[in-house]
Amino acid sequence: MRQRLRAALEGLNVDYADIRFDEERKTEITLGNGRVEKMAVFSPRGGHVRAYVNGAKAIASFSRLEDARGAAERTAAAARAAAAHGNRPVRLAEAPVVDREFAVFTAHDPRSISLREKHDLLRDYEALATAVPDVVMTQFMYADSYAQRAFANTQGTAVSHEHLISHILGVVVGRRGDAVRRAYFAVGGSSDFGRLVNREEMLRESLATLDELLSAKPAVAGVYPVVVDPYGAGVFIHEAFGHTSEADLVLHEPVLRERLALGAEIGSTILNVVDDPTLPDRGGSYSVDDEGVLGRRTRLITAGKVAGRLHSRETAAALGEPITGNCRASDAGFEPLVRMSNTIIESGTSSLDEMIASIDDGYYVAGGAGGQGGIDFTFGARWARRIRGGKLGEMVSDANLSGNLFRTLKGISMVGDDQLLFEYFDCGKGSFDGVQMTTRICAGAPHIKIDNITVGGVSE
Amino acid sequence: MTLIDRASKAGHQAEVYRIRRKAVHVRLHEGELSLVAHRDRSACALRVIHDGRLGASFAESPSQDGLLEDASAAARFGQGVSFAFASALSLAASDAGFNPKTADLTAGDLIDVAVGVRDRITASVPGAAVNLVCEAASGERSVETTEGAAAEEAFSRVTLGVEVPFAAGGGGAAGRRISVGPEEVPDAWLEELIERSSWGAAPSVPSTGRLPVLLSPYASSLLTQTLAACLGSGSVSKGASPLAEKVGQQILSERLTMREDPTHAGHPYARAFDDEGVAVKPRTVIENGVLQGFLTDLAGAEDLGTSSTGNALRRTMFSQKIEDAPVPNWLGAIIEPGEQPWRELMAGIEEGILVTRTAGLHSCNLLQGQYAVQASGFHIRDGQPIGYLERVMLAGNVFEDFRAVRAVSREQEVTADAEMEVAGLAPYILLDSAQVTVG
Repeated sequence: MRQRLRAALEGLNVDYADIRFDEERKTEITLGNGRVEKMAVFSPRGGHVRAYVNGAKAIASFSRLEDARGAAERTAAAARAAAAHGNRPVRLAEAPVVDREFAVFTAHDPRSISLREKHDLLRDYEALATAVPDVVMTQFMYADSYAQRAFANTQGTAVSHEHLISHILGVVVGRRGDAVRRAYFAVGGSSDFGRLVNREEMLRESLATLDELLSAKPAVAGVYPVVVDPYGAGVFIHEAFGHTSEADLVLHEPVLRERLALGAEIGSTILNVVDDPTLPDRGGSYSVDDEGVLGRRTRLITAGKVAGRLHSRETAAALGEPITGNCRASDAGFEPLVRMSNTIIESGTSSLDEMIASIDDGYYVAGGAGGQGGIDFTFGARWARRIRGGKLGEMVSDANLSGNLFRTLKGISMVGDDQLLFEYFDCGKGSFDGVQMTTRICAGAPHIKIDNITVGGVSE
Repeated sequence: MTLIDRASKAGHQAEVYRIRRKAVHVRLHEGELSLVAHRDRSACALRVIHDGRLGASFAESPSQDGLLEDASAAARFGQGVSFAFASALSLAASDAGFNPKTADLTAGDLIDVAVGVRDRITASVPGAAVNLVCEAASGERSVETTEGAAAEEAFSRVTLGVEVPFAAGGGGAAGRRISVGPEEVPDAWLEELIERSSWGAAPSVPSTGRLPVLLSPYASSLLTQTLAACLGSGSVSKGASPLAEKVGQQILSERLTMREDPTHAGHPYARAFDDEGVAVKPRTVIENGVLQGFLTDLAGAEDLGTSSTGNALRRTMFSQKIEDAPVPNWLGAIIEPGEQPWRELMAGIEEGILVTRTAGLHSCNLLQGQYAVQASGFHIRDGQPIGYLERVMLAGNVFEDFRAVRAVSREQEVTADAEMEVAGLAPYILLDSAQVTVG
């Protein structure tokens, strides 16, 4: 397919153009309250073109491979027309030519598992949840996706790459009187179907938390010191810093351009953060991005100082920084954007016990229930416990955290000697044709202690 | 042979949902043209019922190989259902949400609009680094079933989004207009945007505690999205919704009346049928705070022993692809207006906040009504905006905080959700108080 795409770009009167096409095969099964709610097999496909003329940029999406040449020609014409309007010039950083195929290999390929087996695995997990008293609603979702992606540009790069991922996500809703609370179960996030089986213990732990959460009162609003568990800290670093490391956001936000200059002191000296798509078989792992640039490990924070940021070829040129291979689209129908891969806080030296003992009045917050990034960020915890006098106390619900990026990173006073990465993670980022949701992303962290952060909850 | 004919021949009940979207989009960044984009995408979703079991598949077009075979294979293990796909519509499909002039707009036309708006703003605010997007989208949507439904309607939208940066940085005053066809941008709308940008001369920190909160129409999503979660037949039939047994009971302030009406002619996202081909119809869902009923799709209606209210939507807060199964949602939520101008409501606030946008609602426990979101907007003191909000978190419970509504404005604004492809109307809502926490 990459040769066909390469041919679609021949003879275009442009400074630069590239084209992508995806063919995907997905299976999705959803069970809810003991019955099948969804059983579906999907075959989405689509393509995307970018063309640049005298610094003007035009893009287009299309559905069928046979429309690739027409889309390329129309996009080139649009770029030439835009060039006549005195636009903001867009340049691309130099990138090595890549001409190769990247295949996926896995021991337990989900494509070799029958629909029946996938269904039965999901049914058995769900049965554990529905057997629990006070559980009123369950939704267990299985999904796998195999994608063949191809890319070509007018500079000679032509790549094809495969992606294979599977996961199970369970949401369990319990109700006790007027209290409605949720528990989650998420496993997989890799090409290995084996990671989805024999995970009952993890689900049982989550159900035990739900039972306690149903009797919990909401968190009390205020500004507190908190210990954040590795999953919560993973969401925190993704939302609070990861998104602001995406250079397209930096480029469009004058405050970030100034305050996130390379070498700027942004966090405490114990804080080290990397983004690494080369980790083997994680949710955010890949070989090559959607601009044909090879993925690589990028240090984002070293000893509290900004060490790098994530780039597309456009943003690297605009900021005069090295390319990083982080320009990706959720599928070929979308414009590629700067996206994180596996974003991780590196381990420190503190034990969890030391962190909790250091807090007189605060919270231990656990799990990541999503969030939103930027200079001001927010993320939700699955559950939390009050800390009083250096000891863990009662469980509380609905503890959402909010803060300012710069204050909060400097407020990280302890970094744990442990580390966990999410198995399932998803993230949306806005683009001109809608929010691009992707599950090909991951975050992880050790426990961390933040000295002051706003906890949204009820008044005491 | 059409896909429906092939499905019928195979002994299936079938439903084919198709959509084609075309769009042209231009973007100005800090006043300069930065992008011209075109989109031309089509999609086709198939559901079949075979031996009482439901299966689904998705492709770019109905002619794509394997579409029927995939759905048939899925149906072998699929959901056991007793509902039937929609039959012939009692309401003819309309083009209430379509203006042919939109489909004719070119990138050059949109650049002219964008540059014109930018120039009008910079005439008042010299040097303002205006960010602006302008998009014209159009297409067709259809639902066909083996039960006789065959409905198709065209849609179109022109969207203009403008942000005028605050003088002090830290964001800007943002406004969005959305209409079915091209329209003049009124001076009054631009003047209000420019006025709001002047309110951002400096950040201002409100007190932490319970304060009066004036929600702008867009911020009313706190209410509509929470209700969508709690009124959807999925959560109601399973007993997970706290509103499951509360039809006929007071759940919100008596000042709040909410209607569902996706049929408004000339209204963006107006439609005659939902994403299962069921005719939509106007109805009151909450009257003076009293719950009147739920939002259902075919499967949810079956569970509740009723008929579908025509609220099936193939999009959710987390996914905007039609390959996802339909779930009930508002398709045209309208919050009825009150009596006073919103500026009078603001003038009556001794200390409080005007919230123009919230972030983080998707990570809240909506089924419980619990919210904890970051609030953007302005700090109000003695009835006047005195600066933009920074590090403010707004938290509480919808079913408590929206019980005590001081007033609802007489102005309504279109509240389009471009991701969900639905729109409504909402006024400003003044909450007696909500928890405001400053970090």
